[in-house]
Amino acid sequence: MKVLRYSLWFCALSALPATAVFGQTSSSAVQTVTFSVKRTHGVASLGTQQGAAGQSQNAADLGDPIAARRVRVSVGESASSSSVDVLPVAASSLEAASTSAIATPMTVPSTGSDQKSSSYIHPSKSSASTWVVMTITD
Amino acid sequence: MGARKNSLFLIPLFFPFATFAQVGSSVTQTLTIEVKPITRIAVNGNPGSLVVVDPSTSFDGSTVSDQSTSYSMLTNLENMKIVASISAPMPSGTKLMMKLESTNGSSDGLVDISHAVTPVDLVIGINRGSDLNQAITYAFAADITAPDMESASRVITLTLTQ
Repeated sequence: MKVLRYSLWFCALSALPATAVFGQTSSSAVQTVTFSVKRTHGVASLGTQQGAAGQSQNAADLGDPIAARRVRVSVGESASSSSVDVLPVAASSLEAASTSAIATPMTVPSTGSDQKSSSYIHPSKSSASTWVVMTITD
Repeated sequence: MGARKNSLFLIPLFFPFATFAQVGSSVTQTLTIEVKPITRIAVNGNPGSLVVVDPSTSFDGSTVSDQSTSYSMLTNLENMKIVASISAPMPSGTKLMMKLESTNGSSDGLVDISHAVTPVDLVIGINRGSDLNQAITYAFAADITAPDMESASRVITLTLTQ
């Protein structure tokens, strides 16, 4: 029985790398663990509408016309953007949107969540439905 | 005839302790044997990159794991254990845990090695024998306080010891 057991040990030794250590009471092996933490940018909500997730430097077109002049923007905790601009854009002509139409560019903290309001009046269509484009900028 | 007589006088020179008129003779030797201690542990490769995306407020909600590597060990000693140490503490807001499967010893399960600059036990009560291709599990967790990290690494040392 002992012969069998030691034979098994020998086979096990052979399966290990060739540098098996005899005469020592401890042995070590090392591994390298690589890890990272990433955050995506996203717009949590716009008014009562759920905002589409945006990417860094990309505009997230929320798609639906919003009649309200006051827009509440909530940037989720995953956002690492330094500013959020709300651009009211005329539905009929995107070129009507200009930086002058921005009432109040909103700033959000670089990390964490916040909620801010921005009021705007479209220069030419005070009551028209507008498209709102949110731009998240690093 | 004279030469044969002379050779009889030489017998006491070759066998100085030869005892005449006895039927047996013994000699002794001392044989020293030794079984060297054998300890060996080896791993195959490194785990894949552990990436947490959008960590939440608690570790539980932002944990990723890897079980792609394994270890083998062999010893002829009793009551051995496997300990793990980390090259440097993990960043704040993150946690690295590790688990070793074992059929020979008793696994401590998922053990937090985030600050294990001094070794911590992973498997205890290992007796003579071997464990081949036992799974290694790494679990990496981050919470909302963790900073963004493109890619960081730590060296984990597994030691089979007494």
